[in-house]
Amino acid sequence: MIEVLLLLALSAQRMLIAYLLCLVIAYVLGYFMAKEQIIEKMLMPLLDVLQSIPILVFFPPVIYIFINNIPGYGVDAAVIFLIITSMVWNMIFSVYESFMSIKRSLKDISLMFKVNEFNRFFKIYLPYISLGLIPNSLASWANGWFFLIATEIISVGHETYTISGIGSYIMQSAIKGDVGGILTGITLVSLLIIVMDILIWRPLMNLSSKYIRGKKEAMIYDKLLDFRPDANVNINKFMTAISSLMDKYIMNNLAAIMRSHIMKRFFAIMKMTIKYAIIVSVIAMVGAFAYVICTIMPSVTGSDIFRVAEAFAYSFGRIIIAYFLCIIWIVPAVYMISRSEKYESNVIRWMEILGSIPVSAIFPAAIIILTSFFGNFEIVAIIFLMTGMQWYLFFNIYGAFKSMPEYIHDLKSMYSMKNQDYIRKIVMPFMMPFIIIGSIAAIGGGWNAAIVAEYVSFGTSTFQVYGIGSMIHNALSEGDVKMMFLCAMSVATAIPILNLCFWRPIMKRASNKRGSLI
Amino acid sequence: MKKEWVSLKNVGKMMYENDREKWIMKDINFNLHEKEIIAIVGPSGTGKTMLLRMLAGLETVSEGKITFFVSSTTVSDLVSMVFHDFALVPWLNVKDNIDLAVEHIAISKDEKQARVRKYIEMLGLEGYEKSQPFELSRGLKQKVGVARALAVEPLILLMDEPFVNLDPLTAHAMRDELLALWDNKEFPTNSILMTSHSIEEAVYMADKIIIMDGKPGGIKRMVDINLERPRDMKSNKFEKHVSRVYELLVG
Repeated sequence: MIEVLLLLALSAQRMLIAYLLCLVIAYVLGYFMAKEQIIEKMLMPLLDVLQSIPILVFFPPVIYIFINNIPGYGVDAAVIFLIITSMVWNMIFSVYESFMSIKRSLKDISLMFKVNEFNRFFKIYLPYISLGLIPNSLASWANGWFFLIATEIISVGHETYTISGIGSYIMQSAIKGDVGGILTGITLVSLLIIVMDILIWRPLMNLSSKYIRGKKEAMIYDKLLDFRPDANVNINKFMTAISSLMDKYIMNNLAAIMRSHIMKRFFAIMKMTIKYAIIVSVIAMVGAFAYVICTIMPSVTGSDIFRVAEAFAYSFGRIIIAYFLCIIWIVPAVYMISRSEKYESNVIRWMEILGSIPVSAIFPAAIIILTSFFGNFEIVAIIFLMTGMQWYLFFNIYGAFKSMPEYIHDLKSMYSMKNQDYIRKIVMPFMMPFIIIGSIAAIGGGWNAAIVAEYVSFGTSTFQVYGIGSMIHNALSEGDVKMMFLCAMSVATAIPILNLCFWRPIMKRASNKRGSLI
Repeated sequence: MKKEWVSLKNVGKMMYENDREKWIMKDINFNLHEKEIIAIVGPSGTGKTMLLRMLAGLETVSEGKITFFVSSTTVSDLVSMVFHDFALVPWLNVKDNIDLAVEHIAISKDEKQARVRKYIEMLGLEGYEKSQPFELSRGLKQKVGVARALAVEPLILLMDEPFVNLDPLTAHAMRDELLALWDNKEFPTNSILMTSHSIEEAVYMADKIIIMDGKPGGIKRMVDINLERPRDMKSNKFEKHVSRVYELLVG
């Protein structure tokens, strides 16, 4: 048990390091994107592409690069790097957007009352940005768990890079057939996530919505655990205490120091340095990427491309099937749940808890049970894909359904509309934008899940189905850089193209239609 | 002849909307004199708020000229503004919100603290110093906004629909309180320029009402209200003024 707790701590520690690094990256990049036009122009399109790419396809190439370049810490570095890439994009955008769209009233105050630069930054901008970052952090944190555990699971069975942590513990228990171990692992991860949620994220969310929108967020665990955290009040008190202490000992002195001439110069130089560092590193990254393409491309043959395209088609087909299967259970479920006033809040509470458990933790156990049950790994792979996709759809569709104003429901009875007319003319146009947002997220999640779901190795026996996920694993174990790269690239280019040519036009149409409805 | 504080000459404001020029208002001419309250009334979209924002220095003037006849060296702040959405910093408590506004004034720390205390007391906000804005009622929030605007001791106070977010009873009480303060000799603010959606409110408070209309907005009429203070909303004279302004506004 102690050993398992240590492994859990090891995993949590990786999450924490990655998250803290994300915070630094988000604040720095977000700030410079908002303040420096060149950086904004350089990073915007780059981040836009990067955030829509399913990150897990890059795990095999990344781990290959890190192990060969950072001896000793390569694996840990690769894992942390990957978690960062799963967390950081929306956080950067959040900081950037907060800077750009800071409430007019706050801007007015700074101008009207000639608030100095120091106070403007620490008392107005920084709190505003940080409060906006809280909901994004929550999403990133949940995402991070999925990837952390997925990477730990992927690593099991490879001699060169086994990562010890709670994810690999669950996987190893699954290999040994140790049901107790599997359950312990899953329970501990879930408990940690739920406890952190209750003690840290919910109060923070509450704080954020109170200060930003002036209203209280529903506390989902309140009733369930009959635990009403006044952590809320405590956090308030705590923050006030901290800020008054900060004011007394740090801020006032800091303000004086910052105003001094030397410090002003120092900050100006630092700003310049960071600015050029960002520009140089972006150019270096793009350059390195171009270099890789140039070295790999000449050796790529037509048959390579054909193989990758074929595998891509298989995976994509599987994802589409999983997507429609999700829709089939989710739409009626949402309808039924919101119809029954008695059970609704309880069911949703459980769903939220279920959805916050990283699906990747359940994979190993599910493989054993499902494969013996269906005797066919293809079905199991599709079920896995569904688990990686369904929550995005569920919560978006449910959210859309709940956000329909009461009068929309009243329209039906008032004009005695036929059910099908009501759904086709009113409910669907209203919900469509949310369904699309959920679908984009779900398909992205599906690709990530495909990397884990299409290839699972149990010590000596390996389950796999033909697709990008299995092809990328096979390429990794053979050290075939070219195929690894081609596979990752196929997904990385297809997703932005799909977004641009398919989702964006229908999103535009859907929101136009919805706009006219309201 | 009363002394002039501010004069607006042919003031206009243009903004870009979808890359097309759009004039919000044009040819605004009026003066704000000493010990005077001016209320601007008119339909939405005629640029009432924009006018105040330009006077506050929050927006640039596209055309014409705004001239202040007092140099900013003689008074620490010429103008200060009360926003209709209160514009409090949500994460700062009442005192910190007011502190933020006086921070830039060149007086000692103790004087600043004394001044903040003075206006907290003047607006009856004692006991709420440590409260967060979301814990306050709208009336109290508005009082914090007024206290903050006054704490910089401006010569001219701009108020953008200051009572629109309050319930009628609170609004009425706030109007009386403000007028009482304004009568007080210790009150630093000399003249007030406010916008309003309520003709009764304008007639109740102002010495002069500016009626704006049209797109782009312009001054349709100016009406002097020569009524003794305190004014009685039920008196015949008061109602006559109200109906006159009302007729001018719609007619």
